[in-house]
Amino acid sequence: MRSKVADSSVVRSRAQGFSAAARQVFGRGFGPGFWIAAGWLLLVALCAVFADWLPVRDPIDPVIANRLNGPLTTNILGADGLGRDILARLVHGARVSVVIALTAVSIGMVIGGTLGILAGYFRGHFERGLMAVLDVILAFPWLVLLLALVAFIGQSLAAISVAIGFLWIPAYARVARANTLSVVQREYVLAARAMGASTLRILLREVLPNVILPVLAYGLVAMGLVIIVESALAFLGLSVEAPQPTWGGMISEGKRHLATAVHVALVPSITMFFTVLSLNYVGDRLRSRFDVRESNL
Amino acid sequence: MIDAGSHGEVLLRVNGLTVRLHSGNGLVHAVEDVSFSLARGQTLGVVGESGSGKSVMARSLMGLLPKRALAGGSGEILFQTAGGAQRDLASLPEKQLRLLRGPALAMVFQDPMTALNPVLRLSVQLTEPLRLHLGLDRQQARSRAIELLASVGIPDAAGRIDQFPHQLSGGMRQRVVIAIALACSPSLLIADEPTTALDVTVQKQILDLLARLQRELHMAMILITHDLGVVASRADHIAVMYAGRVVEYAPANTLFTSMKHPYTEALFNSIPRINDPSHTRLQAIPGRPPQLIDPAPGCAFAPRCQYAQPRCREQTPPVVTVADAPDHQHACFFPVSTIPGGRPHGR
Repeated sequence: MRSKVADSSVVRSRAQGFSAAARQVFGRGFGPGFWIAAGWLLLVALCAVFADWLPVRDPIDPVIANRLNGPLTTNILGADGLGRDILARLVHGARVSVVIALTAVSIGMVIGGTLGILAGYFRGHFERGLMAVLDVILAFPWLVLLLALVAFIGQSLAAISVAIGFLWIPAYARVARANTLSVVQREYVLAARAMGASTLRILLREVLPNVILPVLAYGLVAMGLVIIVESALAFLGLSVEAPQPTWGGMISEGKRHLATAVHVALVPSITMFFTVLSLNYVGDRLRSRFDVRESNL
Repeated sequence: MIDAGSHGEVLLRVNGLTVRLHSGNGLVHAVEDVSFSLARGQTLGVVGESGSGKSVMARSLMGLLPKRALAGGSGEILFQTAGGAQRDLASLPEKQLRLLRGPALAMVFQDPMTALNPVLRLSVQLTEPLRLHLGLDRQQARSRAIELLASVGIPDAAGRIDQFPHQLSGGMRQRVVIAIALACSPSLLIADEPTTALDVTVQKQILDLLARLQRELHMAMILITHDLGVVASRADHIAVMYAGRVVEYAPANTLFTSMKHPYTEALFNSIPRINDPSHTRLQAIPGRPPQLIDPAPGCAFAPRCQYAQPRCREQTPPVVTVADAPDHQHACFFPVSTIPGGRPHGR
């Protein structure tokens, strides 16, 4: 009797071993939604990288005959008010969105993260001063601040990335500071000091690896927001200058034709909607997967 | 002046150590006028309840108290370095103190769950001090780290070294913490309640391990605990702390046979005994430990002491040496009269 029970439990545990391995391969815990979202992001990223080599039409070549044609006619996704191919413009616009999202988030992450870790570790006047400055930036209407920055440093891709990145410094500084505050309380930081570690070593070895995960996890969600911010700028005509296509710029151009040709604004809007949704979804799932505090290891 | 006796060379001599800390409510008198000395290879047991200043004392020895919290202090911490020079750790600049932490002084912490960095592999955490202090290269440090893991009794050390802390049990983690602390063969190890967070069977293993490594490395140890039973058989000397002061200090067996301070007695009587008849009431010490902010004058234990006299509430009793035992000191005006060979327990 007893041996039978033992046997069956061996069989069961072996079966669990197989299915656990299978689940690891197929990524149990992420679910199909995650993979659809991740696939979409991969597609957008590939478009951004290979835009020049993809078999799409010239995004800035106006073909007047195709003007405002709907999807699945002369053009797969239709043509805009100047007869330019919307698919081609989406593919090339992805480049602007991806570059700005990556650069702006990196700037915010590196500068804000560094400031936040230093503030959380050293406390004192530095922390109070920094937090006061950041509160002022946060209290400022961000669009006004962004317009001022763009007016000041120009409308190139780099300038707009830097301007949006600057806006992210306070948020990242706060995330990094909050996490640093909790990490420096831990005994392993004291233990490292007790083994003769210098301040720099503690910051790099003990604090940074523990703070970087939540900071990175915030990154994908932030990218989604950056794409929206960029489109808001484009809508006001202050993003990268025409004729370079951007998603926000396409929506902005489409608003003139809303009554007659909805697709001109709708197609880029849907594209952006799915991209931002995917960024949020993937970012959120990755965060809960890799957050040591949430996974019950 | 409390002395470790004539066994071996004195490694650490603490004179009148006083530590004040800032807190939200005022100045905490965390450590008051603590003096003791410790010889190479010897163990000092420090016993006291929570908040008696044990941990603050230990951390101040290594200069690990946060500077923001430190509100002042005095006293000397004279430490014999490997080169034979004597250094006052209390006045040593942080930079030089840092060089001593690891190769000369090391510390084992209470909670192995938080004393290891959760996001770094054991290999990183073990090799870090080796490379920093001993200048080993990556390969040397790694093989030394595997030796260290094996020496603290971790099976399959070569396989374990690339694991993360969460893959180890509490007892295993404490072994790793000990391995890290001993990586640079310190001459003084401070173990701050090393077994409090572990269950009883593992406690014994860890204490035995510490004792074995102490013998092998001929290292002095300060074993901090709130459990008299832990230090009874493992310490050469025992210091009983109460409200930041050492109220009694004696060789371990002297302390248990002829304790002088009523607090030591009360602590001793509160240990349940296996051969007590069943349903014997546990003897608790009435009252609560005093708050250390603006302490009242007089003996800190007086409000809870069954022998307290009016004088105890007015004057702070000085540390006195027992007439016939030169290394037995206590701080009580009315030391308890003792019966050699043991005390009657219970009332």
